[in-house]
Amino acid sequence: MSDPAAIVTTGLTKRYGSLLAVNDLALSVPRGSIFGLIGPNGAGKSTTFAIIASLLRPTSGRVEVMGCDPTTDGRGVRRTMGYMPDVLGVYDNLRVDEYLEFFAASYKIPSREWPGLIDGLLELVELTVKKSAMVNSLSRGMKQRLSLARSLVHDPQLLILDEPASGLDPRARVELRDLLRGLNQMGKTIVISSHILAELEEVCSDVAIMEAGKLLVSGPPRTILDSLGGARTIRVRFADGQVESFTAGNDAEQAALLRRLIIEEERDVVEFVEESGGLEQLFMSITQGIVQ
Amino acid sequence: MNPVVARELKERMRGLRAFLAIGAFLALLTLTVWAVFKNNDSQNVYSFNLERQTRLGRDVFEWLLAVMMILLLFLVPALTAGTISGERERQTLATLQLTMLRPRAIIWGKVQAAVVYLLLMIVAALPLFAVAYQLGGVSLMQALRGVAVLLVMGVLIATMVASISAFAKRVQTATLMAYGFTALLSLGSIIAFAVAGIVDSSQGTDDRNPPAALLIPNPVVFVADATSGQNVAIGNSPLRLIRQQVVRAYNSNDGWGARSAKLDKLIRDGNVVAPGGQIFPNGGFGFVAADNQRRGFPAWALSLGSMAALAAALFTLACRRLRTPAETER
Repeated sequence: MSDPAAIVTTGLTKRYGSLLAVNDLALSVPRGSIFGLIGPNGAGKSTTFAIIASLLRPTSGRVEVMGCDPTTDGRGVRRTMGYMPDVLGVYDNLRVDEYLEFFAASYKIPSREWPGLIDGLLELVELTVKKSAMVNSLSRGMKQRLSLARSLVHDPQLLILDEPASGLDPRARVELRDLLRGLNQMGKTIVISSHILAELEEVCSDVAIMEAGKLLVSGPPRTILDSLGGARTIRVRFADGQVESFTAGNDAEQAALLRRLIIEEERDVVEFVEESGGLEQLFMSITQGIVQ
Repeated sequence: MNPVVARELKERMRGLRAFLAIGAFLALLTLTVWAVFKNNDSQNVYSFNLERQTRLGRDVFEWLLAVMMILLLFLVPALTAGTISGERERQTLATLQLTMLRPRAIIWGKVQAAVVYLLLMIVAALPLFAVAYQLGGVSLMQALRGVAVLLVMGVLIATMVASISAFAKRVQTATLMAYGFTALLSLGSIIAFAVAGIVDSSQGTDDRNPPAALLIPNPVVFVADATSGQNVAIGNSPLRLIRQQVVRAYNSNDGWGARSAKLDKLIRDGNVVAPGGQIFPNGGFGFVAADNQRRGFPAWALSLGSMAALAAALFTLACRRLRTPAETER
């Protein structure tokens, strides 16, 4: 029997007066996955995360997070979940190690375990050299990593990261992506939202696209693209320097195209790549830019 | 130890600001002691005896209590107004709510941190109290009681203000609310009593004095009455005026409520009713003589009880406010 899903929502709805922030959302996040929640601003991603994290009560519907209901067993959810909100709130007047000590204490971790735990976390997020630095002296990228270390302090099995890459420079983004992959290899389920779709495409095993509070589509990115019959652009560079673009619907079509070029047309192919932007293309094709 | 206390203290005590505040606090208290001595000197330079020395000791004690009380009424809101609203403003509240800390531990941790800082200030001021003790007129127990009373007042106001802070989204709003609330608590009941008294006397009968209980839910009344002896006329400070007002209000009503119908009738019939219920038949004008003796259930205990009930109610509401999952994002 396969593991139950890390997060399951059924008919999840959140209404603020006349505004329907989340509309009948049915989501299933597989355990051990890196799950990307994609949507334009105002799509309801942060509200969904706040409900999953037990901060917000849904108007209707059900949520299960690692087997716990956040509306009735918030502490159960918090024990197994690390949450990094979209806003970077840190205590500036503390040292980096004091900041992590505070959260270790707040999660009731015995003080004898703090030194090893903090050293390990700082090593993981590559902030060891900043251990004694004041939090307000850190760059935005470093604060982001410190915030990630904070969300890992109680060794949660599920990580919810709301726009963790926003405001980061390209290098910090690559580092964050590698870090997420590393955490996933440690067995953690990661749910992440981002506006940078190319990044999610590289790192996510599953995605869900939301717009105006509704779920439009979810599943592994490739499966979604295939199921929607989305044509992909294949760029081929030949030995003579000529570059041509072709469209192919799925892997079989790609293979056939490659075979035709090499065998039937007898052309020397030096590069055969699918043009990036698949998820972006998918996102643009199924969302309508509705703003609530 | 509550992690919120440890963190708040680390943040608060880092840097010069906390020490400058304690320095300013002690400077004002030292100035107060100096002013009391100076005033005493100007009254009579050439005669100095034991009685006068003990009176000076009592005055120093009373003025220290009064000035410390006023300073604490300004300081406690400053220390606690931004506690929860500050977490909200710097967007750290959600991460704090998602730890294993319950709302009451978060708010109580903030109160405790403020109280530890207050304790530090009060302890730093103890040498000044020792001056009063050395001069006489104040027993060690009275001095300790005075310090304890100020600390209790600090705890109650810190609890109320920190709880109010949970309802504000911005520190600035919380600060305004905190000072408004403290002013209302400290002056509101006194003003209400005074206005009721003016209304009463403007009717020309002086039959119905305002109920003395109006004065009760007030930190100033609490400090004044709890640091008083049996006779409230002793000492020379603003606290004495408050004590005397409370005792007069009680005695002229024969209790904390409005004047009883029986007492009312006796006065209307032209009797003079002395405090304690002694009646002088047809003794003259219909007013109640006031002495300076405290009677009945102590005002400080009633004041403490009412403020503790208010603090507990506000604390409970604040805990509910921080409880998750919430209906709306806070």
